[in-house]
Amino acid sequence: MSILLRQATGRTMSVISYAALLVFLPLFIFIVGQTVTLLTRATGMPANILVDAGTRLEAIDTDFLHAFAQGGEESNDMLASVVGDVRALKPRVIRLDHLYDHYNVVGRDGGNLTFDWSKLDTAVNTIISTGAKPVFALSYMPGVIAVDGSIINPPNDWNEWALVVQRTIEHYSGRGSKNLSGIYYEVWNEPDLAQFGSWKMGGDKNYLTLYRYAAIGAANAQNVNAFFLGGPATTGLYKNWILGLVNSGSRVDFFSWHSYLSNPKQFATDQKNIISWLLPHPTYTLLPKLITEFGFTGNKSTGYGGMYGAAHAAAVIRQLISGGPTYLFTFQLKDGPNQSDGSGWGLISHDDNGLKKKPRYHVTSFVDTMVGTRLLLTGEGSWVTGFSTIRDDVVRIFLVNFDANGSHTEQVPVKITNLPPGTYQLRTRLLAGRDTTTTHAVEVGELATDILMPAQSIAILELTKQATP
Amino acid sequence: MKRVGLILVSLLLFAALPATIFLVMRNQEIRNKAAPATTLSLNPATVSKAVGEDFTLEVKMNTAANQIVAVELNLTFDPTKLQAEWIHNGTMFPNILSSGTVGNGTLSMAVGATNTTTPITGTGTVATIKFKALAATASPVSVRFSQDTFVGALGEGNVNALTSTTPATITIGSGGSTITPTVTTTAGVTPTTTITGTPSITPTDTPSGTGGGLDEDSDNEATSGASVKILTPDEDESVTTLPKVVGTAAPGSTVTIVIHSAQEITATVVADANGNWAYVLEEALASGPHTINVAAQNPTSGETTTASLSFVVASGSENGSSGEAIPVSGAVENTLLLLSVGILFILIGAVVPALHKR
Repeated sequence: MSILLRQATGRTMSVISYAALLVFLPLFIFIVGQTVTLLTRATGMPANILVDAGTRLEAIDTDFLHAFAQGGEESNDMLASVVGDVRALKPRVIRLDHLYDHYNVVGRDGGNLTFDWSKLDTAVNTIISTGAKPVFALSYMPGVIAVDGSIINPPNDWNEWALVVQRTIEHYSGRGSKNLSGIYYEVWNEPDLAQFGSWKMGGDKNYLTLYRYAAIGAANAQNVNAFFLGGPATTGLYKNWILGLVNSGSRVDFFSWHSYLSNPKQFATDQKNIISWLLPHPTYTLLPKLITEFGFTGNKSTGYGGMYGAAHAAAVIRQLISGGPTYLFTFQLKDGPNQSDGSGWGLISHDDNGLKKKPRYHVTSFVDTMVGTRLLLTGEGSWVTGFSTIRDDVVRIFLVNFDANGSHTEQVPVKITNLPPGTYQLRTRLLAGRDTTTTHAVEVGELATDILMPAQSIAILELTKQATP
Repeated sequence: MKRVGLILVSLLLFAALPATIFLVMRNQEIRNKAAPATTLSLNPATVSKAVGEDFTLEVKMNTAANQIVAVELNLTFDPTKLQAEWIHNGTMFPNILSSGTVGNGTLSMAVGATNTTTPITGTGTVATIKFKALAATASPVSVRFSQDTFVGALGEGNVNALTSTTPATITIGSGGSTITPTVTTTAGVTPTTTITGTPSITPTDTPSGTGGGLDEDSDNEATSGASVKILTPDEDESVTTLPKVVGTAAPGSTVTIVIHSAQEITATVVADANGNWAYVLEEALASGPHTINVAAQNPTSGETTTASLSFVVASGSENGSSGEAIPVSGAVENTLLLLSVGILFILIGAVVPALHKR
């Protein structure tokens, strides 16, 4: 080494130094990043839950959760075999995509387009039989009108795309047809994704053109009930897409996007962001906002088959329980075939895997218990979050311990203040876990307890005052 | 003869140019005066608490003539002195658009009307915030609205309908507590009353009547002779850009003056042997409404008393004149556009005849 140092010129040494810097700098940054990540995980804030039973806030309802999406892993009536299980979820809306490539709707006879709704109607009738209204993702381009016959291409004639949309709306919202009211029509599905066309906000494959002709079709629809037309149904919430739609001049009745985010708090940030973007456009600020697909990853993952997926969903619901979207669509209701490893997005496994309900299936009804008037809850932590409500004098506390990266278990102190004196029963239920009831005497208006929250667990504490003998 | 006519036309055009500019400016000014001015304020405007005590601030809105659809509140405070415990929507806006978040020295929340067909008008409470006093303050700290607080109103396009905000001034000590709630009447009077002793705050909704029973003569009336008072300017007085602030306090008191403008101005003066104090601003204030908060610490008893009032810096008062305040909203783009079009027409008017003559 010393020989090298003696023989090397200053210039050579400089070159070597720069080369070393170039090699080691990324490595150094990577190591620092990893260290920071580990430290951050280790130094998160534990929860110390404090509920003020005397501070009542807004009404909490869970209607927005009763929204589900079904993908197109099979080009048939996928929900037919799970109608009972889906109905038990009390769905308000169920979203369907692949309308024009899975259900043979659009054909051509000479120079005219023909429409055959029979196959799509079967799937829609199944949705309606669960008690839900269908939400239509107007996708993808019918092969008979698409450039090169590709379902992700623009049409050869934009007026034919407008006609397809017009006829779809007339068929389902038409007073002389299916006569459905308040139906959401969403223009396309994940247009920004290469798999679905890689549409842009400009250029040859301009989503705004796709949307504009859909709006023209909507405007041409005759004798129809009130309906909603919106988009852009992108893979995430993107400002340029939202404002592009706002500034397009086309009819917009709602905004939609997908959220596959492992950090539940990002869902709340998204809500804040879209409101900020829309505030300078007051006529758009209050329009419905639909997260038409959500999950912790857009890829298939065995996490969807266990408590990880359930805890993530519960943590997201906590973030959106106040100031959330009009609908939060769980993706999806049922797995596609060949996913026996539990990696499918479904709440229910496929027919070929026994139609088993996964933990995520039970989250909606569990959270429904929380309907009531919100109580002030403070002391949420980095992993354990929650909210509290009161209904019929029963105080409920919803807690979820979601650790996106590991297996964090926490003993969570819980204190409820401003309680009338008396004897209370405290029921502690964990989703897919223990269910215990204890009795407590409250003399000075406070009840303190704690609860062990294993990683990826969801709990409801229910405090009921016993009748005075 | 033609030449004389051309000269006359040119003179006429040159005479018309300043006249056009004058008229356009007048129109712009009239438009600005007519522009509805939505305001946000924190109530009470001045709070004195001891370390460890809680208090509540209400975010009040006066929509003026605007029809409000949604509000994004962003507030800042000193996290070493104050801890925000929660923020929640008030009765004025039933629709929570994004839930309240508490950060390190920041608060945010977005609320809205139920729909655009029933926009919000009038006065009321947008949100309520609960704080805990963490540490004693050498001089008052403020809770204030960030620049990115936005009020969206129908018919206002993408313009922020918010024209002014009034922060709250918090003094944290180890002794007793005083609270100074501010009540704004529709007549624009903002009297203040100092309450001593009880640390709890009972926020009062802004009355929609003509004074709400408050005696306007009680402005800045203190409960004891040693309490700080602001003598000038008067409440809601229109003043020049360099107003002189004059008041009284217990002799030898250290008086902290905070003027809430585009940039907060803080100054400290000492009351003389007769209890008189005065402060002349060194930097010009912008046109529009402003708030003064003063806090004086009695050198003998250690008691801190506070007072506050609002005043207005009149538009065009740079030369010392005093006139009606003009809201600061409005844009010069229209004026520039009209001027450009006017100049274009003048040029065409001058060039076309000349070309025609050739």
